[in-house]
Amino acid sequence: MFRGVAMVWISVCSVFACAQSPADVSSQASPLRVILQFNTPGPYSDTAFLKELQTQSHAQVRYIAAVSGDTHVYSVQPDAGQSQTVLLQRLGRMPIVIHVEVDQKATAQ
Amino acid sequence: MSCRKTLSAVALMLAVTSVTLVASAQITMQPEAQRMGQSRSPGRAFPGSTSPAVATPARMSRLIIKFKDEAAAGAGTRISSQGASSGRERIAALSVSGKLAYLKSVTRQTHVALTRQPLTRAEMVSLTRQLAQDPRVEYAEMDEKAYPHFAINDPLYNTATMWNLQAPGLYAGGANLTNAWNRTAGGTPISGAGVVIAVLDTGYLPHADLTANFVPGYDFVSDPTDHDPVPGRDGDASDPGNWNADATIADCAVQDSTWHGTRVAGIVSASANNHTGIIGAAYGAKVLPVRVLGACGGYISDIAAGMYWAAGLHVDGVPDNTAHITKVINLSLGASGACSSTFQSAVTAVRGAGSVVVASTGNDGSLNTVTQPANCAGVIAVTAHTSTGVSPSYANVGPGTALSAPGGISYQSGPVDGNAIFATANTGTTVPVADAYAYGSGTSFAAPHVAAVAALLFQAKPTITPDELQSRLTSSARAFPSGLYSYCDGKTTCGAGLLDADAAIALVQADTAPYTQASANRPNPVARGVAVQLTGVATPGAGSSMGTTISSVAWTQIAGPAVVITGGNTTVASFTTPAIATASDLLVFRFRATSADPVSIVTMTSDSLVFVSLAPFSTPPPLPPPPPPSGGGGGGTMQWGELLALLALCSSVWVMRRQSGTTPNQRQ
Repeated sequence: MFRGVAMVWISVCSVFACAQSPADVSSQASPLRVILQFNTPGPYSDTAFLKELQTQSHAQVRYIAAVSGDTHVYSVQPDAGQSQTVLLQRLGRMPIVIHVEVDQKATAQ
Repeated sequence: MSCRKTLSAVALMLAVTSVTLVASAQITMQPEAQRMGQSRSPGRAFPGSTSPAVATPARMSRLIIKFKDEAAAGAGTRISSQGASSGRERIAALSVSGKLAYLKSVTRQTHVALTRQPLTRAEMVSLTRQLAQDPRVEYAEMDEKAYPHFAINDPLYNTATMWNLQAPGLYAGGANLTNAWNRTAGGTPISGAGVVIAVLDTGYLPHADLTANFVPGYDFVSDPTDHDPVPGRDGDASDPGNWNADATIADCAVQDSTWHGTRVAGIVSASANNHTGIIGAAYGAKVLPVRVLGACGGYISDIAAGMYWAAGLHVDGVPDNTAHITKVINLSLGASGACSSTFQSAVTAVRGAGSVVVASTGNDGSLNTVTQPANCAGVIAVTAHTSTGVSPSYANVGPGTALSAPGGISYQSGPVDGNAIFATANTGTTVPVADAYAYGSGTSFAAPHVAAVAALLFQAKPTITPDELQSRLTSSARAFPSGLYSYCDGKTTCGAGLLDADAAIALVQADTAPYTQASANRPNPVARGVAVQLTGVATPGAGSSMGTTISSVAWTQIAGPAVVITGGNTTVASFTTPAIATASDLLVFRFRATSADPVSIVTMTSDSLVFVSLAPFSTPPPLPPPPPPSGGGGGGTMQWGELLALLALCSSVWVMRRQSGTTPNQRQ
């Protein structure tokens, strides 16, 4: 019974998400790697901080790794319908964040 | 003294005087360390070889002097206008002829002369400079012995397979490493010894030609889709392979494993003279493997983290790298777009920590754009050239490109005239299987040449700053070849030119040597039996680091009748000229200054010479008649008592002889 309801709910959500997704709007399929530079070193992998980050960005946030003392990289799964641009703007609006950018890939040359 | 001897002596004195008047006033030598200890040392033993090392400065006596064309020399010369004068006559006509003897002719204008006595390299340099000032002389240089370069026993090394390391005389695009390796720093061959180069790439393989030069690295790849059996960051920087068999992955070509990091590491520091494979450009350097690229590349965040860590800076969640802090970071990788804030921050931080960052410009064939991080401020961006020194079509150039290094050209079915870069690899197409060597091309393989040379420069001058190092690399670069197929000829977007390891080291070593001047307080010829003051001035080289000081000075007599130098370890010394006749009338003193770097153990020396010629010795005039006894004062005058005692003694001897009827000499 529960399984059936869940499947229906997921299906409805999926349909809704697809219908709402223009190119810039993220889908549930691909979380984004985002690099955040903070104004000071700190415990930016703490659960409490991640919750706050999640609240501010309206996205699922998972800590990946440190880049340096003040720079860290996160996996960010935007809420359905939220564009990448809006997501980055929301993260960048946080007072402790001094820079935000998408974590690009480099290749051997 | 016969008339002939007198005339000869006068002529010799005139010749010597003319030399020494010039010499004592202004001779300043090139740094001896650059020429001796720190420069090429023919016959030097290569590590592992059996050739004897050159431990002490050799003396030499052969000079090559090329005279200008007589017609061009103009009036006023003493050279016969009737055809070419003989070398003997021309050398005899020189102002320093008293120090030289004609040996043989090389050409009509070029002759070999011998110095009257063997001289050190510093003295020979001084002499050649004096000669070069003569309007009749086109140039003068030491006639040095040539030695075969040290024997490299790495079986796959030869000038064709490793054109990239050769002198420009062999390959216009060669990075001139083979000459650079003949230099020494502090008595140690220039090889990158003592320097750690971080290779941020796909990781390393324990290749037999590399393992001796690896130090423990770190794996920064945080991508869980990687082939790493233990995903995430950890202390295992080995390369699990970066193959991709899935054509559906966006921006990730289907490919076999490339062993890219192992290739780059081999270019940098494959072991030398180990009877195995090839030789790395900085064969004495250690490689810190930092794995930042996995299958389908690597994230900027991981690369930046690897940069911080390699330079000894803290990265949360990773043990600090305190054991093998790198001075050179090689990034044979790139991403499109402007320099990201993350890259720029990392570059700025590691450069501030004293490390240089070398990055490849990319293989997109762009003429106006280079990839990041090569386009970040503070990065030494390296494009590629072929064995002929021209820019291949794949190599990105554009604003920010610092210089070019060997990168070879692409090939389809095999190396084209050896025009690719030969490096360590592996036979595995997915996971590693067996050691191998392979050709490849790309700016990826150009950057490690520069990284290796940077390591050589750090060895030559451990306190060199990143700014200074970059300046020396670009200042010493050779011009791109001209011609129809040389796009980079005259284009600043291609950087300063072709990497030249030997020239770069020469520049650094010349910079760091102290500057010396020396003089005597009496003009030549100097009278006999008088005191002469020698004054030396020593200052650290213009390119020396802050805090470099002159650690010692020393005066040494290197020629002429021996005299006692007082204050020989101070800038102002003195001696007294011989009062008696001497075999030689020329005294030569060397003022040597040694500068010490406050941090490193590297010392540099520089010499200046002072020539002091003695006035001709003349026979002392007859002694004046003894003054009449004055009865007082005046040393040497007998007192009355002494005179009486002497008379009594003489009388006693006379009486004894009379009594014995013999003399002391007759006794047996």
